[in-house]
Amino acid sequence: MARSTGKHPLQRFTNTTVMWVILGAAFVFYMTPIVWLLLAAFRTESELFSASAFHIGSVDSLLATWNNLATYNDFLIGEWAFNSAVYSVGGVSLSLVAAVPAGYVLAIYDFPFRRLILVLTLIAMITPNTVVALPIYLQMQALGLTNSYLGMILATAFFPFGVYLAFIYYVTSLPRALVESARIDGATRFEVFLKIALPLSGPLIALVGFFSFLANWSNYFLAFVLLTRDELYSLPIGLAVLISSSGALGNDVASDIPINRPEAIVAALLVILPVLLIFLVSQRYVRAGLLSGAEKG
Amino acid sequence: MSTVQFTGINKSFGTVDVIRGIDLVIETGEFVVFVGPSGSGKSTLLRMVAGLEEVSSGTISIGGEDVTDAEPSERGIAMVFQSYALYPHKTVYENIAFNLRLHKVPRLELDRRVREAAAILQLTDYLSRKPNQLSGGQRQRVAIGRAIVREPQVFLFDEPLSNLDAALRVEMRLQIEKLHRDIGATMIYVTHDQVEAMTLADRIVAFDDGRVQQIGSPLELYRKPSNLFVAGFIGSPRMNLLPGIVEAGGLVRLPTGEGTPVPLPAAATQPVGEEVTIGLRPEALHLGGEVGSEPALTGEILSLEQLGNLSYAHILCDGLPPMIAQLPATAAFARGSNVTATFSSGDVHLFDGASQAVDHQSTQGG
Repeated sequence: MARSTGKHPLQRFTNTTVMWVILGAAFVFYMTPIVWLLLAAFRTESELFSASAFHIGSVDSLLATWNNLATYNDFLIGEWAFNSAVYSVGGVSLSLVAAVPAGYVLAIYDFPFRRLILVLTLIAMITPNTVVALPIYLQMQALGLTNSYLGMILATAFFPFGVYLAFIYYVTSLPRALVESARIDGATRFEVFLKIALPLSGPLIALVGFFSFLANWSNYFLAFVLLTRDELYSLPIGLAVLISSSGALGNDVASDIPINRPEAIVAALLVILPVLLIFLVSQRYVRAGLLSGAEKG
Repeated sequence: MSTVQFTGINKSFGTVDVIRGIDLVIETGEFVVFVGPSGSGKSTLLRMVAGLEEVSSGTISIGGEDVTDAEPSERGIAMVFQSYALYPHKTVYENIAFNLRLHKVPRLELDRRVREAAAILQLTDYLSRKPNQLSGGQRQRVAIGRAIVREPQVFLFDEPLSNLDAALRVEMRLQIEKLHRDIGATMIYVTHDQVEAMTLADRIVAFDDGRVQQIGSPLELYRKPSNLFVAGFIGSPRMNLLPGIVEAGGLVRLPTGEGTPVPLPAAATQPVGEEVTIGLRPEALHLGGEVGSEPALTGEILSLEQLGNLSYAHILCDGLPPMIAQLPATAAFARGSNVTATFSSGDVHLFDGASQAVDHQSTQGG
């Protein structure tokens, strides 16, 4: 064995050890903040200050923290979570309906201004949405759609990155001969999309859906501009307002609302949790093999 | 009636002309093979018949009806793709049934037709499988089944066997030939494999550079290639093509010190001094003869390929490109030895300075 690889066993042992040490150090370095966050949810305010960094608190203190959050204004954060879900699901659905067919058409057919549309898509994709938040606000105000579910959903459904993902997916993964074959079989252009392309788009839909959800769920600035009534807040806005108004992160207690650091930590986890769940669900569909058998080999 | 007629077809991609002025009529029930090297325009022309490629100018009609601008599904054609192009999310049954479902064929008739097509192609046991559970040959049979079930006027095959291994290719070739005999539909078949072309075609259309080089039966193309391209393309191993110059007395002088001049065919009227090309099929060369009454070339055997039933000798004569001669398997020649190759002047193909065949005297009425 040693002869076949040309290396002494001791040298190979050293190499493997070095590799594991590097990987282990990186793992510890990058995982520490996440582990800290998870553990911190179980601690009380004083434990956060006085106990060691990885002190494990108690379920009781987590429940007490949760209770403080939940009882704030008759579970207003529940309403915010509901709002966030409506905005996100609405935005994801609408962006899927728009982005997937748009990317498909750009990938499969040739028509006037196709290249221009692709370039505009790219430009829109790299434009940060914060820079258009103000024009969007003015637009929504003109249409009377500020402080409304519809306004938020319409604003977040614009998802050029999804169009680009769909374009790339269909260019690289959908054999052109499948489309041609279906056309000869008598399918209309729309039927080719509906009956051939769409059933083969599972990975694409999962991916666009996930990214769109991530963008909408954690969208702070646009919601901050469009929503002024606290019963319409999304979770990120509501929690930010709650934490800043209660002075939870300040050194002196600014109010008697029982929102302190542990509550802020649990609120952060509350925002992350759905993203994790959606990711776990969608990544099952993002896998190879769906198109195998269409063509040779 | 399912003739296919091309009239003045041109096609360009941007500034590149890929099809230049094709006029061609394919008769009802005929099996026509388009052959040519990659980029010769044969596939593009086929895709134009299917309606997958737009025609830049000219008209295509099928069964007497102008279909130049018709949708692919309105042309009464079915196409089998090189890559099979099966719908991966559908079973074999649904792949074959897809067209019938789109055309709202009643359920019982649909089932009957799908099962008939499957039976013809021995796919009955695989109807509930998905394409990725099939072998390459089975996938290609499904692709053909999908074409049969539509009962088209014209079948189009775009290099359907290129992805199969050699043994399967022979089997599928026979199956396609039988299919043509059984259903008698017009078939257009594109290939760069000349064995497929020779064995399947009623007529071969040889393409190069976007133009038709020759149309004829397989043996016509083999025996009377009308130009250097066809001469070099049809036949395996390819025809030996040797440069020469016409000299006085009706002879062609080859640029080699060894051997004898080649007499010009009687019909040839090439002026003295014209550069011409002599074509000799590998089987026209006989090794081991003497320089005598027949024209002859002398050279060294570079290598021998023994195929069992016959052998090929690669011979190098001074000043000439390497030649291939076909030998009986029993012939005993050593690599490196010098041999004389004789040939009958009747087996000589002559091509003029413009690469056109001068005369086809080698054919025996073929």
